[in-house]
Amino acid sequence: MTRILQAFLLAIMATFATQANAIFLTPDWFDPTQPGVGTNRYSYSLNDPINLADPTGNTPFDPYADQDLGTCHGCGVAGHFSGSDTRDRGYGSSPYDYDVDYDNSGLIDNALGGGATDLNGNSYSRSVYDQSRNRAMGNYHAENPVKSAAWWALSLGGTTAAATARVAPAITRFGPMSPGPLPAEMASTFRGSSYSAITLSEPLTLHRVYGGSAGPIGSFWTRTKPSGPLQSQLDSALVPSWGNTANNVSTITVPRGNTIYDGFAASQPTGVGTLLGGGSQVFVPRVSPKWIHP
Amino acid sequence: MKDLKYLLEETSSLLISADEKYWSAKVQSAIQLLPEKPMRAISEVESWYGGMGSFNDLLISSLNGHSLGTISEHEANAKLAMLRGKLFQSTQNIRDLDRS
Repeated sequence: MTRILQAFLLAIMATFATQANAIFLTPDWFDPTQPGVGTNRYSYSLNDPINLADPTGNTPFDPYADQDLGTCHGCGVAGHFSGSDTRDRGYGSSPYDYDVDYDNSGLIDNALGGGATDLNGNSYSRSVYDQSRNRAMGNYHAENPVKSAAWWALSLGGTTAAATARVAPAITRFGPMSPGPLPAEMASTFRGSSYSAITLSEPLTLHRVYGGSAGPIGSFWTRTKPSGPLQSQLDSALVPSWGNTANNVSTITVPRGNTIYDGFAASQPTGVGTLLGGGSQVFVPRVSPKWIHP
Repeated sequence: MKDLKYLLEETSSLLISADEKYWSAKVQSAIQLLPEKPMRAISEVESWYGGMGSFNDLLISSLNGHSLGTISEHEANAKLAMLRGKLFQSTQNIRDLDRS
């Protein structure tokens, strides 16, 4: 969810620091073994922002081909154009080419791309201008996170022609300055006591590690498929004295309509040091045994 | 401190009735520690609260090997959640008093 919010931030803040790096601040929470995620979970659109778009940060897709490159697991908010782009794919390889050669003539076109609409002289205003014009044309060109995010924000406005937008889940963000419904003993287990309440618009698959004193069903889960006991201990900050040996994995699918509380695991003192946590953490207040995968 | 002892005893009773061995033993050890080293007992209770696999995470369920007599899993978990919250609050209240 943080990545979705970051995409929004990228759309609305032209000076947002990570624009220059074209990466996200937090890792893709989807399983790295899934198509389109990869081992670098901070990358934007498989490090190919020229040809691909990645508005949610989870699932890059080719806007020309109108096809996702990886399965979108519950991203819930993405949409893309169904019309094919008739322009040269090599067009716009520079973030600035796109603007100055706006009219697809292959020539610099200051009257259209670099003129009055480029009010602030920054990439955001240019991208909004370009995306707006290209939406009308049925074209979309992904050049950098700023433009992709701007397109995404615009497409959320509901004015895109032939866009296949999915229903967004209801999300409310809570933190120390805006305490949410979770009691202190639960909220404090999220990093910075910050979490999002999400009412699912589609089923969500979650995992947990267990063993020793911990059973296969509990209140705390993770979006990330566990890759081993040690990694889980680090990511989820499993204090040894709790007795969870993390040797086993259980999986549930939470049906749509349920509310979950989503964030990142807070660090935990162990008595001899600190486990940093930072991995995906989801608190599910009411877990039905029926949700568990056999 | 009296409240904390009462809450620990109630929690212990619930966990024993559900055949939850690990956490009932933890609660019992905190009860024993409380009269002699109260602040250490409070630190011990505070350390139970966290994410996956912690006391916070505990759900009474037959899937977790628990067995219940007269009350349902839903009732047992509701009572556990209530006691868990009050226990945490009690430790925080004692910490606040200790600081002031």
